[in-house]
Amino acid sequence: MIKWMVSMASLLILPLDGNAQQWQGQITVDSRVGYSTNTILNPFHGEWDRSTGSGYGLIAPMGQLSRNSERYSADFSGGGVLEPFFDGRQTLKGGFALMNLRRRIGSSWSAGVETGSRYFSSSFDQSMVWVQPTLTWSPTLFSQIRLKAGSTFRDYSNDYQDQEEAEITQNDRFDLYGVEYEAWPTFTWRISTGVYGNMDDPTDNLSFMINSDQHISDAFRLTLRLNADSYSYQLMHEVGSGGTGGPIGGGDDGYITLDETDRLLRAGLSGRLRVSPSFSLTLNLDHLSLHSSASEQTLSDYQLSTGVRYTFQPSLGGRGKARAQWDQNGNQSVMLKVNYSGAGQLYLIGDFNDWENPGIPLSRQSSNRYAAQLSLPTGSYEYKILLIEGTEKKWIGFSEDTYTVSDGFGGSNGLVFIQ
Amino acid sequence: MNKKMNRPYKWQGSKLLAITLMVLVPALSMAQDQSFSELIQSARDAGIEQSRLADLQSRTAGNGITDQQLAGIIGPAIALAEQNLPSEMIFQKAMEGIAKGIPTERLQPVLQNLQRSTISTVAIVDPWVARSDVAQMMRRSGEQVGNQAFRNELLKAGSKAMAGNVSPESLQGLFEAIGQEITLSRSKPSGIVAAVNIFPDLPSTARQPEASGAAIAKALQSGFEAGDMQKLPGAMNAAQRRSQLPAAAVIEGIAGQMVQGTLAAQILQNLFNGNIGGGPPGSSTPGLGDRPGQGGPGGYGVP
Repeated sequence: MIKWMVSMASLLILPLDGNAQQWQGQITVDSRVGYSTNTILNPFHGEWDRSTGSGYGLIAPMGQLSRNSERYSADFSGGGVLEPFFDGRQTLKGGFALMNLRRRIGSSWSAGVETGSRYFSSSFDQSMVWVQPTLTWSPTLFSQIRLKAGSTFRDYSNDYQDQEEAEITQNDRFDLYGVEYEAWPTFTWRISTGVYGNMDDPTDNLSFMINSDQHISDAFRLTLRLNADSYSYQLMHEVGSGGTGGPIGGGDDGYITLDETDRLLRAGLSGRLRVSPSFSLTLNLDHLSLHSSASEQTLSDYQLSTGVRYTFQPSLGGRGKARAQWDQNGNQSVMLKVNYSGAGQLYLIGDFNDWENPGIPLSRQSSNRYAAQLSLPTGSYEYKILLIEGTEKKWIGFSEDTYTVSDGFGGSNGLVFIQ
Repeated sequence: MNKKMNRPYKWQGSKLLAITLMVLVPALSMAQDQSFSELIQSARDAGIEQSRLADLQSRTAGNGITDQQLAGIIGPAIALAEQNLPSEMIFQKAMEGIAKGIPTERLQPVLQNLQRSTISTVAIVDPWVARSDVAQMMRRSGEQVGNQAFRNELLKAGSKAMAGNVSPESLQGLFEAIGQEITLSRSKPSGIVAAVNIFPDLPSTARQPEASGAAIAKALQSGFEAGDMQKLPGAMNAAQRRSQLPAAAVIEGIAGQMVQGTLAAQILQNLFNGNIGGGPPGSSTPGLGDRPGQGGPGGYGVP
């Protein structure tokens, strides 16, 4: 399995060399405090434990690297998690790694593989590895359908050393499939749905998901999640007593075998308020309802948490390029901020100064930050950044996230709109 | 013998050529001067400001460009001005080319192309700007931009798009898309100008211009203003490369990307919400072992 994963990764990653775009990265540190009545609602926990409701904390540094070329793309993610409980339970700690690789195979098709692993320990040790090929089709401009199928390998063992419960070690393999549909009613609203099942019995034990992700404003984002799962199993019932928990199999005197189903509904609401370019406040509410046909019981659990998220995007491989950011302060007053690493003096030149050399000098604000204040009437303006170092003059290229247009001469200019 | 006889004729021929050149060169030069003067005069007659001509002349003189070459640079501007069309973008592109050291033989075709595309754009922009619902949009927006300035900005953006190989039919299609009632009702003039500016830069425009038009219209309907619009080409390009699917179809949290600068945030958001718990696919399959009714390990669970 490992060899197969490495081979797949090699085949998909190797073409990323050569004319590939530069690496893009992001580092995020999430912190959270919350309360839950069932640990399966806790971030990253993934195990059912509703013995006591408990407060918890969370700190999770995570990072992601992306790289892509014309036909290939790759994402690598990883992170660590520390989740202490306030009721004395063992802290959940662990980490994860993910890799998504994609290759374009047609005008509206792409194929890839998603793989990952995670390890967490608390009063248990839980590890998981999964790999699943994916096939994605984009039938219309604002929709896509994704098929995925693969295997998950899961090891679990509890660690009840000071308790009387028996130690359990379990190794499982799940062969799962999923069909997902995503659509964008607007640029700020995404809806995704999915149905998931087990390849051994594709129509049994289905799981449904629907998510709505809405950007209310540049600063505020709201996500609504709904999940419905069903789990069918057989259970021995003692005739006459109505008891549960007998061995599965049936046929013994006094017992009958019945098909039972647990139905689980889960709803979540997340909000994120950006208070600065790097910091956001988060609020999460989750509710879970489980109805068991065997016990005729309905259980409800909830989770509430709030936290702070720090996000940082390091500059990777963009040295020697200028990242231009325009801020409109008043009706016609605009501030240009340029991030650039390198020696020499920078000048701004463009439509607003009739492209006259050397242009408007950018004042150095810090080691790699330059700025200029301009007064410009409403309109669109093309511009370039000129570097003068000694007697040498050189046009500076722009970073990928600076809006540029073709200059008609085989090069590109930055473009800014003044409202 | 013959050689000796031929020498006087050769000498006489060279002398004749020299005399001819001595007479013709100044005459040609005078004719060129006269021709250039007439060109400058016709530029003034067409309404081009003298100061603008003087700026260009001083810039070209400083860069070793001859009057004849300058005439080739000014020509497209005069042609536009004579049709009462804005010629400023020709001057700006000329200034830009000179600043970048573009040779005049490369500069002139670019300017001529810009001139032609401006004339083609007028036929699309002028009827659109004259529409009553467009005028209503301008009044409602509250932006301090005059009708003429709005029209000129659209002409500038449209002609640049056409000079960049966008067909007149594609540009017409864009104006139809952004001219829908629902789009105009949620747009401002600056957003419309930005929409036309970004049109040639969207990754789908070359092969699916109608798709680009629909994407731009949807962006305006979503409340995108000029500042958001200018981030759209980069965001869509990044989305396309990352998902390896066609442009607009994979705008995976594009609004989020434009705010945060990267698509990575979406994946990390899912991680944070615990959506990686079950691996593929879905999130909640493992870990339900001791739910009520199921007395022991079964299905996906553990006790």
